[in-house]
Amino acid sequence: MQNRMIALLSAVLVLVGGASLWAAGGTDNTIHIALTAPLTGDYAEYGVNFQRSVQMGIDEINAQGGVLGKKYVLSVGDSRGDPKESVSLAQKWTSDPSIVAEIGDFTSSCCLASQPIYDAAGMVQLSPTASATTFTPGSVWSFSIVGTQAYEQPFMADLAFNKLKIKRMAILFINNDWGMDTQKFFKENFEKIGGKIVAVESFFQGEKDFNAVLTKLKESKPDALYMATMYNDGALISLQRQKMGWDIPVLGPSSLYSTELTKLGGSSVNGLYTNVSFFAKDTDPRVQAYVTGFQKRFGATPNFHAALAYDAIYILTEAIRRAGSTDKQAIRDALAGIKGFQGLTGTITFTPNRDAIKGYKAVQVVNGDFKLLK
Amino acid sequence: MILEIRDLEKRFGGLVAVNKVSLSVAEGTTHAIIGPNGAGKTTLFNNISSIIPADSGQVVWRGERIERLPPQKVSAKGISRTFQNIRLFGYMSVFDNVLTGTHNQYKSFVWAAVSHNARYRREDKEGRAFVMDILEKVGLVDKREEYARNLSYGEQRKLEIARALAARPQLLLLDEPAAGMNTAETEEFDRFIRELRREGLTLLLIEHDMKLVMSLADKITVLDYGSKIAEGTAAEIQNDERVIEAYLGKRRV
Amino acid sequence: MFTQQLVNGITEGSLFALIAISFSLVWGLLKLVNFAMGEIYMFGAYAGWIVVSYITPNLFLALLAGFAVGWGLGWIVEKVAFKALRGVPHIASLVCTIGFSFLFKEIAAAIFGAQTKAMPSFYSSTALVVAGANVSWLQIFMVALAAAMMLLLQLLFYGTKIGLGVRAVALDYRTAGLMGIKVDRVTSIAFSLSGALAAFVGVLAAIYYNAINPYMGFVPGIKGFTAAVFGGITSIPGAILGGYLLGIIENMSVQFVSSGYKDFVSYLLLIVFLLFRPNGILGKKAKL
Repeated sequence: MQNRMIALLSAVLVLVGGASLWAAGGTDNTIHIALTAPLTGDYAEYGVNFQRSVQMGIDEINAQGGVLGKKYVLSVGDSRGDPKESVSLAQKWTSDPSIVAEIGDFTSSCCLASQPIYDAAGMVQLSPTASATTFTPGSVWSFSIVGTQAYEQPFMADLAFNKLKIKRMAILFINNDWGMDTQKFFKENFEKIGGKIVAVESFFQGEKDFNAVLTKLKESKPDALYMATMYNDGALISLQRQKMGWDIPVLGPSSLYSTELTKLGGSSVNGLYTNVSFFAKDTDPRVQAYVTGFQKRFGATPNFHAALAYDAIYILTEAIRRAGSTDKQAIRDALAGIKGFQGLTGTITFTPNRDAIKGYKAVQVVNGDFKLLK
Repeated sequence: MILEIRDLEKRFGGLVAVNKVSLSVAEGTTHAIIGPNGAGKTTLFNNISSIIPADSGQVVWRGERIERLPPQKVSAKGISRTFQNIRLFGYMSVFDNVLTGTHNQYKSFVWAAVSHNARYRREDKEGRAFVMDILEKVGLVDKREEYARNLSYGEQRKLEIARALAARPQLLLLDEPAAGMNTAETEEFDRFIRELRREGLTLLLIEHDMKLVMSLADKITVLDYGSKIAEGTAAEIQNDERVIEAYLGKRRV
Repeated sequence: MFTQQLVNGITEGSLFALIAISFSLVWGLLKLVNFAMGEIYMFGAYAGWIVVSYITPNLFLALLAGFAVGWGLGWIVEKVAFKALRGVPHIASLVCTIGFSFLFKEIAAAIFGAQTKAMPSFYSSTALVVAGANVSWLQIFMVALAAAMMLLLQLLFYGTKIGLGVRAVALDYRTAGLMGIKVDRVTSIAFSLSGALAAFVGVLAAIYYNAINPYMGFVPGIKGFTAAVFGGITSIPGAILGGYLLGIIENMSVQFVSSGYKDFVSYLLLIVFLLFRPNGILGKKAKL
């Protein structure tokens, strides 16, 4: 028994030793980075697109000789959209000496949960999508390129009140860090320019029955409904709203911009307004190269969040190039200094708080397809 | 012999509950087992019905050894029993309690219940009629819709016997059936047992009420500390020195 | 709006009630909770989805397919988590069903992908308007179907031999065995039935909510279990009552308190209620 234990122990030691040797050897001609994304779970569509875009970017960069003469090696972890999983992945990445930076996670809640780990370890945490206003100010190591709700929601409030002439708005939001922020900024800005919020209701992740909450919102007789939700919940809410026979204009943030929204929601999402910084039918040749490359490789059209992840790997590459080394502190400092980076999702300039200011375009679903609003 | 027990032994740790007991039950007779508390009577019943299998020895049913069969197989052979501590389905109607006793006799089960075919309907109808007959016999027809737990103690005893009878047994093991009955109930019970015997049922009975035992039993086996100390007719047992000693000796202590 | 929320609550309550029956059935027989119930529900939804999207848009076939798949999964869980683990402490079986819950989720995600899929709707037009409340044909259909299912179960339990066997095993499996009732078989059948029921509800829910994904079973699983405890977990009429009450309370708390506190309100009520009646509404009074 004891012999067997010793044998087992030595086997484990050899394996661990071998792995770390291999990892350490990797620093010579490769750069290891990590991606945290919800590859399964409610947000799987976003997470899978993260992985596709980042991998696509890495393959392109590697094919052109890499950065600083080194090739990227990507480690991918599935956080399932669960902050606990995101934290344990952060621990895994930061304890691996070969990994120099992390891209991810998708939700603000996950990013906020794992933020202290990256902060303590001193590693860049570059989220393509975290838009909670509390995220990036929380650590000098945290970056986000989506543009926070503090910039996006005034645009939506203006669209609703001034362009669409909506005076009374009802809000339905998902009760998490992102949803709270989104509804708060929309409400503030909509009220500031003269609109009236007649009802605010929420739901928790995983909810499937919206009949009760829609019934209550309808009672407040709004001119339109603002859905601060992800596309899958948004589609479900729209289907149930349609079934109730409640015909009303619907608006929502850029999280609704996804081909899955129209696929799931069918005719119930027709007429819905949202916004994008990235539009797949954009005539910009760089956008078209990305979209066709993505379609060829994965058989799907990339959405806004996929494009953000693509921008994330390129902006990180730019930072490493400027830093001229793979030192974690040097990468962070170079990243923080980036201004006017031409990404697919617009020009990215990091604010002193390390979040990005973006431009927005309004879109509407017309016959199951997103169309730019003139 | 319908049932033969040969050198049956059961130990619980150091205690010998049943010590090499042998006995034979003749078909159509009423056979009583008596003895002071702790003599091993109920353990013997548990061994026969396989609820607690014996350590060694044989239980022979019509020439076939059954001591290793699981309890439901033993019951399927034609041996039904009642329990000293009543084990009815309390939250089930009197009728349904008896119906559970008929479970062994029907082959068609799941598919039949789902398809509700002719055979199932016939068996179901027969089963229900049979249950009504038994309830009639034990005098519980009027209480058939009551929960078993709402019956009086004496009625619960009757119900247990009714349920045992529903399995159409050839041998009925009764563990202290008259315990807790008043004089009138005991007399009525005496008549009931005689009727069962008249119908040809073989009975093996554990009972403390000596008047009832002497009146009913064709043969009596006396156990003390797990061992058989005497066997014979009522008259023989009443005059047996060792029996008197076992009972009276106990009282002196 | 009160009536509308009542209609919503009764519809949702029908779903909760049927899942609660599944939990009661398993609890009654084995004094155990099958934590994979929500995932069997989810697989039922996928079975229904496959039928309507790839074979034929027939609601009844979809429900039947869900029922069959649930029966099979229930059978598997019973064989592994309960039969194979017989004799080990109950907690091992519980943990095993939790394992099944994760396993089923992962399998579904691997086969169908983790993305939400659209489920076509049926009978969604408004059937009637009662006191200002819209009632759709689907809602009527669901409530009627749930009621029919409950009636059928009642007939099964009180009118058939197998039902008698289930009740006997639930009350006292040792004595039931002595009566010649095949305890293992009865248990297996009842367990499969509970799975079939949960999966059946999964199909209904998928049609009602128009969407399915591998993680859809978690919330209904918890809600169904809650409803069963609410009603008194040993009693099927209790489970039904608990399901409807939970559905109505949830919808009313959205209306009169706030959607954000929906679960808080209903669980608070439940806990307070259980303080005064630890055995649920019908707990000790009626069995199965």
